[in-house]
Amino acid sequence: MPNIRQVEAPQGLGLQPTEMGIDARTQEARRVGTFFNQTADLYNQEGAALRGAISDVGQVSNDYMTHRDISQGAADGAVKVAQLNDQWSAMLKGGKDADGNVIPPADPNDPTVAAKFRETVLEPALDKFKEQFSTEQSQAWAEHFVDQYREHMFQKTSADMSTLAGIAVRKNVTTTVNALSSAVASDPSSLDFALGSVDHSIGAMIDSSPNLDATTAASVKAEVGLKAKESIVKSAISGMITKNPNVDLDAIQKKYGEYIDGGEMKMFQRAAQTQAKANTLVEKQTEVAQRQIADQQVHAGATKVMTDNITFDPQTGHPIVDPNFFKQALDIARKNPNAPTAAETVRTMFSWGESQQNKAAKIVDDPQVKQQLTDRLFDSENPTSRLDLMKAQAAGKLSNASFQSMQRIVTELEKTPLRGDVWKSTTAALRDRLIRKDLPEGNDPVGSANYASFMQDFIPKYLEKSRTGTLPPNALNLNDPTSMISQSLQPYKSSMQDRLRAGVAPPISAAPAPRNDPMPAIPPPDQRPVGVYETPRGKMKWTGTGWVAP
Amino acid sequence: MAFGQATFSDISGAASDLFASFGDEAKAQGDFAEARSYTLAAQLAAQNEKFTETSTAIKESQQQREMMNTLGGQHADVASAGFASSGSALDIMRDSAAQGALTHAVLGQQGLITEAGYTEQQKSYENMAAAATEAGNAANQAATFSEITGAIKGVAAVATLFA
Repeated sequence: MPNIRQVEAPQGLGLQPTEMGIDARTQEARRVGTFFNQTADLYNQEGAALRGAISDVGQVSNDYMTHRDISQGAADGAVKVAQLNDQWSAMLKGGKDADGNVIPPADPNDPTVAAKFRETVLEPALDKFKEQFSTEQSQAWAEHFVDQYREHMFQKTSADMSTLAGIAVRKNVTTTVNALSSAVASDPSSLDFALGSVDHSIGAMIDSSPNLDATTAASVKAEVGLKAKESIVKSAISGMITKNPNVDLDAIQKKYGEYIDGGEMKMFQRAAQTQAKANTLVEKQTEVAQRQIADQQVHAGATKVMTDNITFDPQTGHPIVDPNFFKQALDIARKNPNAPTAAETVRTMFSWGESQQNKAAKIVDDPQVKQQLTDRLFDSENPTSRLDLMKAQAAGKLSNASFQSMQRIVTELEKTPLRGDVWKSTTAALRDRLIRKDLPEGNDPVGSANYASFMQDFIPKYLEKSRTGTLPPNALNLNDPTSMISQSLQPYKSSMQDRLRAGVAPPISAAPAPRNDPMPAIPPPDQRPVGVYETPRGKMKWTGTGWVAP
Repeated sequence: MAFGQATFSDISGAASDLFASFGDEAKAQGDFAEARSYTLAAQLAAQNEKFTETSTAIKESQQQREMMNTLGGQHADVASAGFASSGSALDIMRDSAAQGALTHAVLGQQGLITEAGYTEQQKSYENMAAAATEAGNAANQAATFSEITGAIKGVAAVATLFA
């Protein structure tokens, strides 16, 4: 048997699948899944970290902004509250706004004032205030703040309007009560009507007030009602007492006892007694006043009669008495029968008139009388009057010239009185300088005459400057040689030797009559002719307006 | 606002983030190391795939030579036995050729299967390397992020003292 070799496939020849790829992919799946999980975890971790950071930063930022908003807002809120309070006050009481415009006071009876303020001023301001808050917390704070203030302002504005209305009602009630009180004081018989109308009027005023709340209304009613009636009743009683102090107060107390207590009744009794006394006093004072008025009328009438009926002869200086003088003087007494001085005044005028008509010789001045009359020119209580001058002349102690010049001074002083301590001291100093004191009183006729002449010379000049406002401040200063009084005094002032030389001398006349004394009196300026005179400074020339060396 | 609970909360958050940063950095280092290893493994798998290809070719050559020797010996055997190259002899020769071809084909396919396994292995390692690298990068990024957030929280903690 031939052996032929053959090719045989290996035993078990076949494809052997490998798991290498499957294992690798499986391992990859596991590892890659882990990696991706890790990556995902890392991203999650980053997200969490970022969230935490943002949260922390956001919290800090939020806290900071909240703190800033609230801090700033609290201060702004306080300012805003003050501003709104001021605005409400201005709207309520009147004032000026931020632009200086005048705001009239609110009408207490206008019910829309508070609501209008809340709507147009308060709410816009609060809304604007809230806009500055940016965080939830700060906004919540602002909302709470605004709510509280809004509630406060609601209560405040309502209460203020009610208070204002209460004040207005009280004022109106007071006005009504005052009017009724005045009415019953004038006409006490209207008391019952006034009391009846009080309740009606007050109740209507309070009930019709739209802004008055119930509590305030009840308070006002209780407060003013009884007081109003008390006030009216007391006014009526006062009026009764004024009209008749003997009014029956017991009857009044029985009828209106609920409005008057015991103390007040005693007060009214005392008032009635006082009123009675006062009435008596008034009557007496009225009588006195009437007598004083009558005396003043007598005085004025006498002045007018003398002014109208007496003229002076320009040549002789003698008074010329009109025949109507006596008739008009008598009319003064007839027209003023109650004047205490009427009779004496008329007697003096008659006496003076008769003395003028019967006068045969010239009257020379009595230096003492003339000095007294001169001194009293400045007496505030009993100044020299025309009647005094007339009496002196009627008694033959005042020359016509002196009468005339002194009467002019009296007229001047009636227009512009020169009285008081300054003039008293000035006249006293003048007497000391012009009248010797070392002689018995009345024994320095030259000094007395010079004193009177000086006053007649100086006073008209002084009054003239006083009226024209040209009076120098040192006019009455005797210590200042340049003063007006010192300058005017020079011609009348005797040196000590002249005064000693004068010695005791008889009274001199102011009239330009012949004189035998060593130094004749110098006539008053208005009667002093231009010429040379013997003056205490020696011979001086009178120019008509002043003295110059001859 | 001032020193208080928020301050401690922020400080603790900052510390936590800083330490998380350290952890992330360590994790990134591990990931990168693993990625490098996978890369090396992928390279080795690629080499193995080449080795398998060469080895299969060698095996196929050996099997081809062995089969040709056998077929050659078969011709000699048939001739020596005095058979003509026909009939059964041809059937025998044809069957031998078929068996050799079959063996050759199986060798080639088996080589391809092994190559494909190495190729898959290479790709798998490459993917793992890529994933590890990705994870490392993410860890690095997380570390950096943790440092930043830690710093922010630290600043926030300081800010609470002045707010």
